[in-house]
Amino acid sequence: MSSASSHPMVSRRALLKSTTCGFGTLALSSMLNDSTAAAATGSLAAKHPLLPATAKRVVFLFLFGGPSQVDMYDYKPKLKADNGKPPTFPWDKKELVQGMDNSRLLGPLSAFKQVGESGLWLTDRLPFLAQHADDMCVLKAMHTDTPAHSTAINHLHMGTPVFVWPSMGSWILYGLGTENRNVPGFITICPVIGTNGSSPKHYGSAFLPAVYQGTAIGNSRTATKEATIRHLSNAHFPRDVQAWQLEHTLSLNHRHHVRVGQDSRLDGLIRSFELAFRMQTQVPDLLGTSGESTATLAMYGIDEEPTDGFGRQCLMARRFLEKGVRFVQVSQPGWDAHAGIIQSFPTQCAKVDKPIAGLLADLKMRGLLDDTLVICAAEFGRTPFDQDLSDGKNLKDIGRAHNRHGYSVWLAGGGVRGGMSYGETDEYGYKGVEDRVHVHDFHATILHLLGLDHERLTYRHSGRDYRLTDVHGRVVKEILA
Amino acid sequence: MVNRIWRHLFGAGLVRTMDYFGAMGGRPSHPELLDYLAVSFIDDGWSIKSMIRRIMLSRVYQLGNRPDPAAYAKDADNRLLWRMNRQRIDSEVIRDSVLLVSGDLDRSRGGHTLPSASYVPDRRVYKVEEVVDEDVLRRRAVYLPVFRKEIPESMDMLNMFDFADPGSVTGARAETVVPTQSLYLMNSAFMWEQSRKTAQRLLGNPRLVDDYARVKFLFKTSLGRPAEDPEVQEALSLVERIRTHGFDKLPDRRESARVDAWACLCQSVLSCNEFLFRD
Repeated sequence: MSSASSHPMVSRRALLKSTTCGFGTLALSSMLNDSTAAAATGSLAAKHPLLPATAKRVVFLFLFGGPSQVDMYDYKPKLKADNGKPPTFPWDKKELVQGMDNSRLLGPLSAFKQVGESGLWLTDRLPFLAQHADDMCVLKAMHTDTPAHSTAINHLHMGTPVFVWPSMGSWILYGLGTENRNVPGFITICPVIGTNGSSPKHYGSAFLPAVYQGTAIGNSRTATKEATIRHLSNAHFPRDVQAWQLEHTLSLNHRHHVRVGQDSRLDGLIRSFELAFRMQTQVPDLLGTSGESTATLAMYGIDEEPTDGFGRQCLMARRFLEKGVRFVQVSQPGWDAHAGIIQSFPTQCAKVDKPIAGLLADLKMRGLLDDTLVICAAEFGRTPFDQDLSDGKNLKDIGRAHNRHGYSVWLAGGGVRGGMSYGETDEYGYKGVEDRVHVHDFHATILHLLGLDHERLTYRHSGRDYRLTDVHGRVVKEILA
Repeated sequence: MVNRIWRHLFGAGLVRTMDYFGAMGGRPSHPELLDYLAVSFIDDGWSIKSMIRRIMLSRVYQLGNRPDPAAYAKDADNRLLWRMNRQRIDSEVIRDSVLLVSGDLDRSRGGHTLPSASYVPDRRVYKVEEVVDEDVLRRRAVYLPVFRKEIPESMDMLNMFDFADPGSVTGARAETVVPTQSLYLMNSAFMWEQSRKTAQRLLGNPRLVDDYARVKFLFKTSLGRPAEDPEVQEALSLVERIRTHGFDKLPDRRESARVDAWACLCQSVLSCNEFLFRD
């Protein structure tokens, strides 16, 4: 209940003076006419990071459910050779779940090839992404602490498996501010809802001030084409009426302000009305595909299946990034293949292949890839051996279980060395054995690329300083360009 | 427990770390008071109602929150309770207050929140929207059904204004200020519908003889205080402006221009800080 302002009692006279000038009117006219001068002010003002930064903004491609690293990025000839044999290496039996009593090694579901000049290994199910191999840096020995979706997703998004702490995007917004005051600085497009482990806290700001929280556009249940911010437009009366109405609300608020004294939360609410009003005009333009060429739409796979949904998400992400949004997340669920992986793997790859490749190509064409960090990650990977929920009755319907011990994520742009992989798993792709990277290290590295020191980006709450990386984290310097 | 009740009434506990109490938590600002309350709570037979009454009858609960520069300089955080804390009212209270002002609130007590027909055998099948009875949506928020996985759109207000996640323990709710809340107040169907009902209530009440009386009544019912003269003037000129320059110019809205213009004023009052905060 504290007022954070250092000027608790602005003199009544001073305020009344500004009132007689018509605070409401002034504020509103600036709201209406100032959409060009879009620099953010206050706690959201763009800040210069303390360290040299190679990335200015982030787009986070979240593959919800845990894609299979041994089918996509981590090529293991021995797994292919031993397909169908029982695993002989020790694996974590604590994580044994239904249908794993007679698990057999399951070789890569599709062929691997070496792609790009760098010769990075990649499944042939990602032919479009393959064209950007020389920009990608694959971390092959990622690991996390928990094998369940909810806790592992928490960890990836908030740096902790169980607590509600600020999300990665809100930490970054807190550290860097944003460059466009007409659009929220942290946006998540079609976040997954209603499934195991999904939650608004993954784009929340927890104990960080609320201005740093993410704004959701649609959710996984709505088609991306329809995705919007709830209540973004007024269906009840014209805009000029709303402007007069808002002017009146602001005037009421101002009188209240004068009576009760300064309070940062009251200020916050006033500013939030102003942002909301501006968003109504600025955001709808960004949501659609207006002004994009047919070639661009085709590049993202828009207006064709199965890429339309994720393609639109990726295109929207680029439009927001271009307008100065600091952190954009897009999400593609459907990777939790406990069963039916043989059927779902090619479809899932097809859903994201063209959209991601389109995004990389588009960013590159616009000269944005150099200072935009692209990260593609999931909460964990999958086991190199199978899971059979049919109890041997339907061998075509097998899947793979969760694997937190060794899985792949990748980064591109924003000062990351392209065309490389870092870290190795064992010969079956189950567990990281060399240059392992923990989720905390991953976070530390992302912040580092943005010029933020993960040990110094802190916020004091309930008696101690908190960080995205808690008390952990190592910057993986080996992957910096 | 008494610390939680205290937090509910004052917006901050005597121990401020709500879910960390004891060695790991913060220290109480008034340890003797906390002990006294705890002992009284036991003596009163663990009655929450008695505890609320006991606290509410105290001098400290009845303090206002006028600014006091000297006190502020010493204790900006109000740990010593020199004034009442300003609190954003909870989502349920915002919702109930809006319904109360519009006259739409069903104040009846008791009864079911869900009709029994909604207990569909296969729980995967039912849709939350299908089982919520429309009449329930006019009842006080305490009677609204709570669904663990999702809050239906018809109860959007709760979603927007920091309703606690039904799946977890929340000692102190977040108090966020985000533009999506403002968009909700400005643009949602609920707010417009309730504002129109408020306007119809003002225009249909025979005891409100003129527009001046109507504005007075609106301020009294929604903000709990009489409107000051400049406020009445401002309100009336808003209604006039919206009516003549807004709705009268739209052929399909001309007929309802009066109600709609008043509704715009009502919505403005129902969205202002004074309505959303408890001073």
